[in-house]
Amino acid sequence: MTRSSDPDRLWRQTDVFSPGKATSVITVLGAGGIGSNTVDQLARMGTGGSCQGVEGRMEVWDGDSVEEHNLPTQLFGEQDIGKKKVDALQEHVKRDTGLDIVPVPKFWEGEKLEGLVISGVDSMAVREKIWKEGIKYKNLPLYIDGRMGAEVALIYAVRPQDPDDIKLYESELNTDEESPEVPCTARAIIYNTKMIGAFIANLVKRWANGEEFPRELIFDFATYTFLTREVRA
Amino acid sequence: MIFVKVVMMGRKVETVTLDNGKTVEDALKAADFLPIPSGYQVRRKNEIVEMDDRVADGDLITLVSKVKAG
Repeated sequence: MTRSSDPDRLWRQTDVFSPGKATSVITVLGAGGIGSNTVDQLARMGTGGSCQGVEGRMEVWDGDSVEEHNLPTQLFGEQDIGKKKVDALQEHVKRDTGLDIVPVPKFWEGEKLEGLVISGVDSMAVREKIWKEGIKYKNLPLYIDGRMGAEVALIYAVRPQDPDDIKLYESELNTDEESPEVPCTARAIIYNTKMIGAFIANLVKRWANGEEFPRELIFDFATYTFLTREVRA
Repeated sequence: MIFVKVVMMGRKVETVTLDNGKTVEDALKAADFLPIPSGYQVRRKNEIVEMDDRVADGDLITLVSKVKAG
């Protein structure tokens, strides 16, 4: 048993979430603002490691390296500048939780995906590729897609074989051109990336516990708007 | 008279007063949110609506920003 899923460590959350209920494999595409903060929270919850005799794994894909402008919104520190994001994330998670994540220092290009898949990528074109080639109709338990822009967050939680979930998700799979033009000085801020990581971790918990979960979740810090959309039975 | 809350995500929120029978477009105009900037989608609460749909007292009309960064 890895330290991160040790019951002695997790007793404060025992009645909320037991990592043994989650899928044993989690794949995260993107280790930026959304990905790094999501991995951190999932690891602290005890997911992605071996638990109760089940061998687990959390695999993180990203080809980028850490740059100085990443520090204010991502999990990295000054000592990480120049390292591959996934390698720096592996070091942080190992140091803070004891969990060994699996770093994949490249961008996803159509490889077979496994387990519960979470994406925090930067373009709608890549989201479309992930959806069409890696997720739709595949035998995967859940796909979570996080998107952000400054103080706005959009999060989708999709069961890849469910027709209603597919319909809702595809209706929100707009093109890059249909997204608002955002200056590079208004793209991200730490409380939003942390919040998105928190919502995604909560969605994993809800799904693992068999609780209801929204298929779309929208949050805006600028106007304090919070919206959810369910799929009607 | 009806009261409608109109939100442009990432920017501002206004509560507007309208006569009965007014539309989504009227509410957006009263909030000075027209023309809608590119990259926004209009919803009532969280359901997609048409501009000529009538609004009701207490409605929440939201311009959702279709953000894409990760």
